[in-house]
Amino acid sequence: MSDVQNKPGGGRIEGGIDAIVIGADAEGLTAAAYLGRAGYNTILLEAGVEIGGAVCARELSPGQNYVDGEHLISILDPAVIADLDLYRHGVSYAARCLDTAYFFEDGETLQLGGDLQMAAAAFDDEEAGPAFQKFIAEVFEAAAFCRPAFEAAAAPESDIEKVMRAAPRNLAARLNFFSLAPAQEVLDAYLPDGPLKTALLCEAGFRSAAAPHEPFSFMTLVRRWAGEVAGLQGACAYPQGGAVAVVTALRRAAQAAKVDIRAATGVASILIEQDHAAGVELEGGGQIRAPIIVAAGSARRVFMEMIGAATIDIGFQRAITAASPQLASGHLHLALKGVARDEKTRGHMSRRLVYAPPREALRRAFADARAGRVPSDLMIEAVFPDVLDEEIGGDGMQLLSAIAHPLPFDEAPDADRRAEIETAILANIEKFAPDIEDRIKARALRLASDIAQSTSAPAQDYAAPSSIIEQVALARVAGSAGYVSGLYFCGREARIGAGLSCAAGRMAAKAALFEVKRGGRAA
Amino acid sequence: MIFPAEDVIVDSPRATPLYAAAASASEANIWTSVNGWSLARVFTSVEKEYHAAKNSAAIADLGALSRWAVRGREAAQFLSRITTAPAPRLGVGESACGLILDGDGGVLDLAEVSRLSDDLFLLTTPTSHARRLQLGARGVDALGEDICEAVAAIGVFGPRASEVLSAAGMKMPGEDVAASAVVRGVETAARPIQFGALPGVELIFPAADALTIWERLVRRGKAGPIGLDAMETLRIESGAPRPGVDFVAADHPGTTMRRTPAEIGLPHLAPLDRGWYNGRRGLRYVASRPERRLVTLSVDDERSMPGAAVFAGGKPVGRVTSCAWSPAIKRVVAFADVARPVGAKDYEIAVPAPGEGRVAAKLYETPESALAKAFREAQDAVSDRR
Amino acid sequence: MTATFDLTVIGADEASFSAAAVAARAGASVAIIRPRKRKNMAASYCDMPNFVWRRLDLHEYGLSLERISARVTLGPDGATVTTHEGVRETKAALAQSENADHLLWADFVDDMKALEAGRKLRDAATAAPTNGVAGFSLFSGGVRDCAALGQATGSCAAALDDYLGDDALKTHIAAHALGPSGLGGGEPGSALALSEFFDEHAWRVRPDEDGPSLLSTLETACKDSGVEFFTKDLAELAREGARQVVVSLVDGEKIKTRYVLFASPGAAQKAGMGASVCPLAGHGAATAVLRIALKRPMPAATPDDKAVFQILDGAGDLQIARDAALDGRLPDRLPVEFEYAANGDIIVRTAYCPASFRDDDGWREWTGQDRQAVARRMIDQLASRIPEFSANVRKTKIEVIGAASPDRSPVFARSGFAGPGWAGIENVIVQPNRHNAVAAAVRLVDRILAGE
Repeated sequence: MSDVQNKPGGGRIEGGIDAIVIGADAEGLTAAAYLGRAGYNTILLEAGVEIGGAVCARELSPGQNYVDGEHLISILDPAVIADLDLYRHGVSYAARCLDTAYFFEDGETLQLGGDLQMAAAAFDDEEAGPAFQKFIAEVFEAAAFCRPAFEAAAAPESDIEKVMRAAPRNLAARLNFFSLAPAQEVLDAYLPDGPLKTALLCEAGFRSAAAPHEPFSFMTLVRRWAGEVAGLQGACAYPQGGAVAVVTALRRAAQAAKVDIRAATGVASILIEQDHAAGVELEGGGQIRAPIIVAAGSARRVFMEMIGAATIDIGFQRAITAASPQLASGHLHLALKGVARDEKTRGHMSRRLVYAPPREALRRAFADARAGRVPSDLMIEAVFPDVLDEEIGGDGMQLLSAIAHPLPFDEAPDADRRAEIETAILANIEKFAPDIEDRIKARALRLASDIAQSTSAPAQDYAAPSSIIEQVALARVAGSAGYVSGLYFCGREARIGAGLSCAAGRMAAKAALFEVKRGGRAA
Repeated sequence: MIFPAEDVIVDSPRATPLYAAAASASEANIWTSVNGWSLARVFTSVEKEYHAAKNSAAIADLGALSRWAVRGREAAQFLSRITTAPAPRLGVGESACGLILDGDGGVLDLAEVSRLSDDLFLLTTPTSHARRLQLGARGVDALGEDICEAVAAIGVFGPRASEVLSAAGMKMPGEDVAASAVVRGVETAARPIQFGALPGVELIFPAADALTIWERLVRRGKAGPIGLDAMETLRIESGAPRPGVDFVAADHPGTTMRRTPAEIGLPHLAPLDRGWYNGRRGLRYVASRPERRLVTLSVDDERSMPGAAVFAGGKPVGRVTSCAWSPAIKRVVAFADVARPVGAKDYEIAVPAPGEGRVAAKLYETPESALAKAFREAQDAVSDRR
Repeated sequence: MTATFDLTVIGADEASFSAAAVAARAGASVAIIRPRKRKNMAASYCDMPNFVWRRLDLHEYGLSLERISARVTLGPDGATVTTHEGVRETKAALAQSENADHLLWADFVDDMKALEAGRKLRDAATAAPTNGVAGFSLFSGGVRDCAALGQATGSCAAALDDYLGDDALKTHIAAHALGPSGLGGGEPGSALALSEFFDEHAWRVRPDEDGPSLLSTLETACKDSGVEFFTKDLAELAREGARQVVVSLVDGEKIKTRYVLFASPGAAQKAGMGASVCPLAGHGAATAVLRIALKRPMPAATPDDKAVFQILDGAGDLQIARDAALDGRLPDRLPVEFEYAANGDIIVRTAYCPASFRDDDGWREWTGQDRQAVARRMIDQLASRIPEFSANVRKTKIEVIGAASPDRSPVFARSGFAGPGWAGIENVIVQPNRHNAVAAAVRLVDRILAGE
C-alpha cells in the first residue's frame, strides 16, 4: 500500500532513473557529479533558470561582471577537487595563496603571508612572534584533527567519535578549550595585545553569528583553518574567473558524468512510499521516480514544503526550524573609475584586504546588529578581482568586491535600510581606501535577501551561520533526513562554516552510494 | 483507556469533580493519586467490585486521564501525526486506539482518539503530552485544548451498562459510534470504550454537573463504583499494559528501557502500512525482530509479585512487571517483560521466601495478546508471500 | 619550607567549603585559601543537597535550613510572576493567574532538567581530568543528542520562545536563571543557564533565623576534617613541572599543589580571575551587592520575606544590560535581585555592572563615585516597585566583586602561563555552575579524586 496516490493525470511518469538531485547549487552539482561518476543515471533538477545557486556571475555595468555569493575560496573540499577532476574541468588559481593586509582604526597596517605557518615563523616581533608561531602550530594541529567532524557531520553513520577518541590527551584538552571558549579568551591566552590579536579576533568573528567575545566562537576560526587550498592549510585563493569558475567546473564534471541537468524544473513534492523516497512530483505536474534522492536547498524547504509538516517527525521538525537568524553579511561590489591613486592602497591591491575594527567596536557591532541596528563599525574583507585575475576588468575600470560583517538580518529590507547599510559599508571601506566614494561608477549591494531572491530561496538561507558547535549538531540532525531512507540531505543545514565547501554534497552522495553497496536499496 | 502508574509522591492531590461522590461511597477509604488527581483504590472490596463489573455494572471516575479537544481543518492529520491511531479514517462518533511514539519508534504512551464531529476530535491519553501537542501543531492547521479541568468523566462497565444508562435517562451509544444527549439540561457525550474486555461507555460532561450525573447513575441505574485495584485486575486480565508500570516512556529521564510497540505486545497498534504517524520511520530502523516482549502469564502461585525474576529454559530472562489474582481463572495473571527467545511458551517465576523456589508459568492468551498474535501472523503471511 | 597539598580550594563560599571538606574526608590533603574576611552579604545559599549533607554529617552541627519560599519577579505596573519549587504548585499558581503556559510548565521543567547536553557541556568546560576526550563526546551521540546539543548551545531567549507564550513568564524565568551570572538572554550558550536553573539542586535555601549560619558550620566542618586554612589573598599561580601548581600568596608564602579548584564562578571572580572565569558562566562583568538597613519594617507591598525577588521590565533588558556592562557602562535599567536578611535588612544584588568603566578617555577603574552611583540605581530600582522606598532607607553598605583593572585580570596577567588560560592548565579547575554550585563542586571533587 502506498502513502501517495499515484495520479498520472498531472503529467507523465518518468522512470528508469537511478538518482534525482534537487537543487543545482555547488553542493547539488557535487552530489550529482559523484552519483553520475558512479554510473548512476542521474537527473539534477533546478527550480530557477540559473545553474550554480548563489555563486554566479552578474553584470555590474556594461562589460563588467562581478561574482555574486562568494569571492574567495578557503574551505573548498580538496577531496571534491581530486575526485571530480576539477582541475581538468577548468579550475585554476589566479592567486593561489593570497596574502592578507589588515587595516586598523588607528591607521596601522599589518601584512600576513598566505602561508600562515611561514608568516608566523617570519613574524617580526620579539614578544608576539614566538607566541604567534605556537598559536598557529597548535590551532592548525587541532583544526586538521577536527576536519572529519566538519566534513562528515552530515553523514549519520560516520565514525567521528572513533576519530576523536584517538586524540592524545593534551590535544583533547586543547580541543575542549577551543570548542567551548570565546575567541577572545583563546587569543588572550596565546597572544599579547596588539594589531595581530585584533586582526585574528576579526577573522574569528567574520561571517559568523557567534560574536568573538561569546562562547563557542573560536571554533569559527578552527573551521576556517581546517580548510586547505592547493595543499596549503588555512590559505585563501582566488580562482581564475572567480569563485563561479568552481561552480562551472562542477557543472562540467556533472555533465561529463552524464548527469541530466534540467533548469526551470521545480520540485513540488518528494514522493515517499513506505518511508522510502520514491521520486519527486514536479511543479508543472508529472513525476520522476527514482530510488535515491539527494536534496540541496534549505531543510525548511525540503522537509516542511516538499514533504510536509504533517508527515515529518516532530522532534526533527523542531530541530530544523528552531533557529531564527539575527545576523547576516553583506556583499558590496563596486566598479571604480581609473586606477587607484594612493600608492599605499595600490601596493596592497593584489592582496586580500581586511579592515579590522578594534575589540570594543567589534563587540558593539555584534550587539547593534543583533538588536536590528546597522553598526557603524564593520569588518570588511575586500579583493580587487581584476588585479588578481588579468582576464577580468578592462578599459580603465577597476572592480572591488567586499564582504561586510556583521549586519542585521532583514527578511526584506526597504530602500532606506539598504542605503543605510551601503553607507556604513562604504564608510568602513574608506578607512583603508580613502576617497573611494568619488570613484564609484557602478555599485551592487547584495544582501542575504537579494541573493535569496535570485535563487528563489527564503532569505534566512543566506543569513550568517550560527556557532560551529550548533552547526555540527544541526548538520547531524538534518543529515539523518528525518529517517526517510533513500533521501539524503546536503542543503544549508548540512554545511558547516561559511564559504564554498561542497563537502556536504560529497558526503550525501557517498552516503547514498554506501547504502546501495550495502544492499539496502537497489538502484 | 488505562490509568498511568500512580504518583510516586502524593503531595496534596487535587480533587476531581467527582471526588465528593467517590469519597462518600468509599467505605474502605483507601486512596492514591494519578497525575496529581485523587483516586479511590477500593470502595468496598476488590472482589465485590470486580464481580459487579463482570456480572452487572460498575461506574468509575475517569477524570484523572489527560483529555484534549482537537479542532481544526487538519485535526485528523494532526492526530495521526501525534498518535498511531488512524484518525483520518474515523467516521463521526468512532474511536480508535493507538500509541504515541517518539522519532525513533520508542513508545511514549497509549492514546485513544474519538471523532466527535467532522473537525472535532477527542484525544485521551494516560499522561499529559502538552509539549508534544504544541510541537505537533506547528505547521498544521489544528488546535488542541486541554479539557481535563473543564470536564468530568465517568466510565460505566459491565453487561448491564446499557440498562444503567437508559435507567439514568441516557442513550446507549452504538457498538462503536458515540452518542451525545442532553440529560436534564446537561450536555453529555457518551462513547463506547473497552475496559478489560468488558464493553463499556465513557460519559463526558461539564465538570459542574459531575455529581448530578453520578447520582443518577447510582440511584436510578443501581450501579456501584469500582476502584483502581479492581480495575487493575480487569486490566491485566485483558492484557493491556500500563504506562509507567509495564513499560516506561521512552523519553523518561535516564531511562534505559526504550520499548517499541512490538516489545510491549502492541504491534497491532502501530502497523507500518497504516498512514503516516510520528515514529514510523524510526520503527523501520529498529530491528524487525523485537529483542524483548511483554507477555502475559498465568501462574499457579499467589505469592508472585512485581519484580520477581522470570526464567525460561532455566535462564533468567526478565521480570514480572505487574500481576493480579484473577477470580475468573482462579490463578495469578502477570505481565512479564522478557528477553529473547521471545517465542518461549513455558516460563518459571521466582517465588520469595518462605517456600523459595520457582513456579511454573504459562503464556496466557488475553484479548489484547490475541490481537497481537493475529497481527503477527498476518504480517508473517504477507512477508512469506513476498 | 613550602607546604604541599593534593588540592587547594580558593574561595570562601559554601561551595568552596563543601568541596574542601568532602575532599579532606575522602583522604586528600586540602588547603583553603580565602581572601581576608568580609562581612557576609548573602541571605540565601545554593541548595545543600542531601548527599553532601550526609557526607559532612551536617546534622551533627545543629544546622537547620529552609527552602526559600518562592521566586518572584516584580514586573512593570505592579505585575508579578511567582514560581515555586514544586512543579505542581507552580502549575496551579499559573493556572490560577490564567496563564496559558501552565499546561506546558511541567513538560518545560522536565525537558530543561533532562537537557543532558547541557550537563555535558558544563562538565567539558571544567576541564577536569576525565578519561579521554571530554570535548568531543559533544560531537558524537545520536541524532536526538545532537538536537539537544543544538538547543543547549543556543540562547536562552530562543529556548523560552520555543516553549512558552507568555512574555511575563519568560521574563521571570530569564531573570532568575540568568540574573546570578549576569548573562544576556540572546547570547549563545545562555540556554545552559536554563538547564542549570532547573537542575535538581538549584533551588536555594536559607539558614534558620536562630541557628548557626551555613558558612560558619561548613567552616567548622572543614576544620574538623583537617583542612588547612590560609586567610590571605591570592597573588599568583604558576606551573611547576607538568603536574604541580605553585600558589603564591600576597605575603610571599607559597603552596605547592596538584590541583587548584575554584568551586564556583563567584569564587573565581572574587579571587581576581576576572574576565577569564569559565566562559560558560558569564564573564567580563562585576557583581554589586548592597545591604540596605531600613528605618521602618517593609510595608505589606512585598509580604513574602523568604522569597527571592527580581526586578525586570522585560526579558530583552537583560541583553541590553549585558551589552552595556561589557561596553563599560552602567546599564540604565539595571536588573536587580533582592531578598531579606534575617534581621529585616534588604540585600540587593546585580551582576550587570561593568568590570571597569569606559569613558571618553578610555578604560578606567571603579571609583567611590561609581559605587555610589550603582547603589543609587539599585535603590531607584526598588523604589520603582515598592512605594515610598527611598525615604525608608536608613543606611547602606555596598560591595563590588569582580571589578578588574582595565588591562585584564591581575592574576592571569602575572601568572606566566603561556598556554591557554583555564583549560590548558589541566589542574586549575573552575566549576561553572552558579545555581547548584555545592552539588556540582562536590561531584567535581569526586571526579578529580577519582582521576588521580
